[in-house]
Amino acid sequence: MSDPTSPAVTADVQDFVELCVPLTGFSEFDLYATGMAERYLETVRQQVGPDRFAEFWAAWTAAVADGGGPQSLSPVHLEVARAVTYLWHTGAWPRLAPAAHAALRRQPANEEFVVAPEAYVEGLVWRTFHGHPGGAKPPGFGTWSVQPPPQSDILSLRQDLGLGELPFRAGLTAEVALDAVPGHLLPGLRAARYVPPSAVPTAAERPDTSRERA
Amino acid sequence: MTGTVGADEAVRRRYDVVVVGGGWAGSLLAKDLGERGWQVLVLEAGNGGAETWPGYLDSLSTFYSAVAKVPNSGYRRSVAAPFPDVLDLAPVRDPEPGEREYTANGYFVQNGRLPYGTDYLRELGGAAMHWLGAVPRMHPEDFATNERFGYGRDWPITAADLQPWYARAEFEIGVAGDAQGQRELGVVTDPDYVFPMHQIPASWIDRYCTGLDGTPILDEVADEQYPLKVHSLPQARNSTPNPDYRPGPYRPSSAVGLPNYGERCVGNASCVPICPVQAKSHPLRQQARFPRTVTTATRCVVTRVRLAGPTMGGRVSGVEFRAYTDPASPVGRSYVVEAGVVVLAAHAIENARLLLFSGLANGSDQVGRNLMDHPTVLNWALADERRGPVGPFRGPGHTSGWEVFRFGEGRRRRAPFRIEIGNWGWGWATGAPMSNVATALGVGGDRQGEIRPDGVFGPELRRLLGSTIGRQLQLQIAVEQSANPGNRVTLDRRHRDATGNLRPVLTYDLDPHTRSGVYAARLVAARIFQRLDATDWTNHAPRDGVPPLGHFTHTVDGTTLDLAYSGAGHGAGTHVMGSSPRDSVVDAFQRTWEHPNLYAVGCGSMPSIGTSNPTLTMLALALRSAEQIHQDLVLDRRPADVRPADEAEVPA
Amino acid sequence: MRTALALEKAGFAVPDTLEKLRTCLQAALEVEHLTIPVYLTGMYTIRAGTNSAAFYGIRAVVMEEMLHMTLVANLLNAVGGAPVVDSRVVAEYPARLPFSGESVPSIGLQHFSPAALKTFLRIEQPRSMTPPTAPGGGWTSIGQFYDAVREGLEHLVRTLGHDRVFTGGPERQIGPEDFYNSGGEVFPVEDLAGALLAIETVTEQGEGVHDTIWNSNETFGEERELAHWFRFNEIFTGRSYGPHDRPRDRPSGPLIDVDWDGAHPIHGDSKVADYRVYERTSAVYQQAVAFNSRYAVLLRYLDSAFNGHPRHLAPAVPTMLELRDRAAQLYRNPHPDPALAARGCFASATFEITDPQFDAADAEVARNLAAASLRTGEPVDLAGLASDSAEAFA
Repeated sequence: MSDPTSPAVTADVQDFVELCVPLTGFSEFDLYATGMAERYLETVRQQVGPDRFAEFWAAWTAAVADGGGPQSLSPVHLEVARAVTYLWHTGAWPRLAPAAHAALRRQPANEEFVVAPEAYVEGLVWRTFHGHPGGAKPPGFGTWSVQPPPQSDILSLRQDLGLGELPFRAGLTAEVALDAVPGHLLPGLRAARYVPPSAVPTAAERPDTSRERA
Repeated sequence: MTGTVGADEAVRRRYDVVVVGGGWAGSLLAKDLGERGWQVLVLEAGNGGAETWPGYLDSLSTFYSAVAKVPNSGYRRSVAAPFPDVLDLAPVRDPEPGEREYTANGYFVQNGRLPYGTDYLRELGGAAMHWLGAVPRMHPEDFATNERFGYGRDWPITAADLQPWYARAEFEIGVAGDAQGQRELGVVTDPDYVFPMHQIPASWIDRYCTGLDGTPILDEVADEQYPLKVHSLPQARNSTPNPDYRPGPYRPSSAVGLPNYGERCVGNASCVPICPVQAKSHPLRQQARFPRTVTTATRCVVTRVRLAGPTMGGRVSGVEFRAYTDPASPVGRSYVVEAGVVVLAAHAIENARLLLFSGLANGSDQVGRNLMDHPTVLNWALADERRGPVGPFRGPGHTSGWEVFRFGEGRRRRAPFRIEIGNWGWGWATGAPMSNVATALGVGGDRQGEIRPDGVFGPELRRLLGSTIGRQLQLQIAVEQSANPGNRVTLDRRHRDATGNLRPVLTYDLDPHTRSGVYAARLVAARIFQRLDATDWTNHAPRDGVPPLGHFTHTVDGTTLDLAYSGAGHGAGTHVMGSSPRDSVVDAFQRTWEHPNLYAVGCGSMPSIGTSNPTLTMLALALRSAEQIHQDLVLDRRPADVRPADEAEVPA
Repeated sequence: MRTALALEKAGFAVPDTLEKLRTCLQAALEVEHLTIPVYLTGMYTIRAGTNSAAFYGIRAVVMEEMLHMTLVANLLNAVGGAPVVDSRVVAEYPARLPFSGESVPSIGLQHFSPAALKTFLRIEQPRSMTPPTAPGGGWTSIGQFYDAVREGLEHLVRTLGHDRVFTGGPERQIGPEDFYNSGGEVFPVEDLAGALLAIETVTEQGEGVHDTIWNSNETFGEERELAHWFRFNEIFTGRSYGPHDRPRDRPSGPLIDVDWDGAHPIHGDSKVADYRVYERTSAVYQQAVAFNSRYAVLLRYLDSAFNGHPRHLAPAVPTMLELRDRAAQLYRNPHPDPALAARGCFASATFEITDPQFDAADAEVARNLAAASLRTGEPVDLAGLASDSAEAFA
């Protein structure tokens, strides 16, 4: 029931959502619209520990403020930033790079898990290509026949999100050319079905379909 | 629906028919016989629950929570009635040359050269709870590949014999399709036939591919050019009723447990593992229409078929089963139930397991042999960036295919294949779209476990994902595997489940004809991608020493390819039908040759599976068997000889 | 609500001309629509992962209201009328419930809460629980209103003759091939028997059959279900009805898991004008306007479907599903007014649909209906729709 003493969102959550916009590429409205903000903040705190989360958050706040973006984060903080972004996009906490897992001295097992059934349903990744989560939010009979809308362009995305010139990449010199996406940014074949999405290897460079055997 | 009952109640009576298994075949057959007035008991090994709406929502929620959204991810594992899962298989890192490249760590014991990568489900409704709903008929030539092309086993019946049964099955389960297109393929022969519902609308991806209609594609193994044409796939999925259907009007069925729901597919795009609205047909619908003559008991694991006394001419008297209350515990209690006819409808592998354990029907030594599946080779590519996104992850799993490689003389040189145009991007091959997020961000570290330096965020991430997911194309190509007696289910007393039942031991491999089909399919897919100006990212080679499951290499004309296949869930062939008891297990009515009142129904009876998803053929056969069982029972129950009325008989 | 409010104001009367009968049925259409935004608000403010039984309980009622709208449209078409679904159908919330007497308070948009359920119960209150008014008094209940419609219809059939009353073309009737996933099977109305069955369905799904808690769905060979008031009472009391409960009994069955905290509290009287004040700090304004625009599109599809093109429901259903997602997104965003947000309020869909929005919707609806292939009897094919529609559907 409406409790006049507790706000719709706490200041912590508000701050979390505001600075997750440059991580996820989605607006505050979209992030709140998942209904998961508070739950995700709790999850991140629990997964990296409250103190380390506070350190990470201070670093990320500074990186946004001084215009450095993700590439000015330390490697461990970069991995945490990835995990937070993965969480928003998929509803799951990912498997971290083992080196980051060790450096953070994390208690929980380094395994991917879905935060809650409703978290999967609120994954943002589906919206990046104008889709809907498999098994939820069905769009209606015959809608799959309609041509999908064109790819949104980066300038208007930045503009809509009020994000200016901040570089949103690490370890890459320029924006990825969409007509020549490198294999290390794409998933490759899952060797077995139990491999969680965050542990799927990247694609090998453009494969050759045949090879001679001696 | 009279609801399910417990074992104690179930065994109070003698039945006309006991059906082992509450999946597709068992449910359809039980309903048919029950409607004819016979007393039928259906024994389901698995749990029930999904027939109530809260129970169904629980399955949906279980699926949402699963990290690996595999076909069984909506259902909990069971100790009392264990079942195989695709998660049971693991690749072996750096395998020795010639050694097995996988381990099997679940319900199946596997000792074959290649893994049997198919699962099923022991749960009320069976594996049909997670099936896709693809229901193409088989082609006339599929029934006689040996006679026509010199490979595989032939059927004792023809496609023409099955046509009326196909039509009935399509009514019972509710099929949406384009009959004209199926007539063009030669699989529907009645010139006036229409399906109960109009075809499921084609996806945008289908339309994108239709641009290649008329383009010839070289299959160098068959040494033939095949002109492409996209055909709509018949599906057991609710669509718009076709007013021309006779006898009409056809009304799509609602969800079981929630009235007026699921009357159309609404595009959840998750048919496998679970259709959230139940627009996809499943056996619980049949069960909801069971007449009062049919009794269903869940959590009853049939352990043995009982042979009747020596004077009974090889007849069986009933079955033994163990009933349990807690799926997490192996504790149970044994019962015997008797019936006039016993029907095994428990999945090809479970039927074989029961026959082998019971020591029945195996005079031909064919029980458990000829195990088949549709080895499925995945091909994935990114569509041309200039033409924009194609709209993956929308609509049913696949709505159209390229059919031309299924038929004709090419079958002599390689197994035929059906190209499914996938609607769900790279999901099956790579775990997309979640894995796209991970690799674009660079989360999870590199090969050595170090933190990766590269990755994108924010608007750049959104843009990259929009493009690299939005352009995903995947062709799943199901290759025919023909009957080979070496591919088999056996039992070994050393391998038991927690309740003491013997687990299936599988020996599986692909023969050169099938391997050549996989090889040809891979190259054809590559050519199609080329024609679409798509970038082919398919790669089945071992990665960092880890071969993908189902990996093998195959050489044709001096060229060797790394290939890999996945299981399609189409287990078949373990109690094949034939025209002679010498070399087959059941006759053309799926009645065991040796036991006149023991039927083994399901895909296990199929001598070949062509390139059609086998469920519809299985159901046509089941309905045909139901008719025969009815005739058997009538004969059994009628007096052998009725004298004319004038012969001084006293009226009752 | 224009027709309904005008008719109510004119006072109780049994329609004695075809024209008046048609006016009554237009009013009925508006009344059936009135409750839909109210129930949708209650349903979509439920937090994900909570109150599943309540969600499906309210959902069932909403679906039946949609069925009622469609049956009323069939009835109106059958008697030679033409349903109008435009701004006159739209109510301003809080709204008066017409034909129900002065004792019924205005009905506002409320989040899932005991107060909301009380409102729902008041809306669906069966006649048997409504104290009778003095003889010669005015309107007292929706049930009484439908009684008047039935009486008028029977009278007109007697006086004019059946064929001069049922003059509508059969091609205007919506059947189950186009209307699905809703509260029971829709059926074409072609004669008096069909018309009476439609009225009976509409009243009994709401009130229950005579003196029982069940609705009339058994007519269609379906499982029997609780009538609306009793469904809501289960949620309100947190307990389900037992098999032998009578209408005036408290439910005696097993408890239902109802969690009143599992909701996003809203300030239901908020209007887009209130959101506009915070346009620069919150996207809620823009999204609330977009919701209303899309709702206008939905209503215009319905208008076309009800006027000789039953298959035009095909693009209407995806629009409803789009509205479902948009509504949920609004209810999860904090209210843009910091003072209200601090008191725990979230944003809400306002259901204010104005003439400019209808005009814009008309253009889009006309364009899409021309582009899609929606001929009766043929397969539904939306492929012709422009790709911006796909964005809306996703």
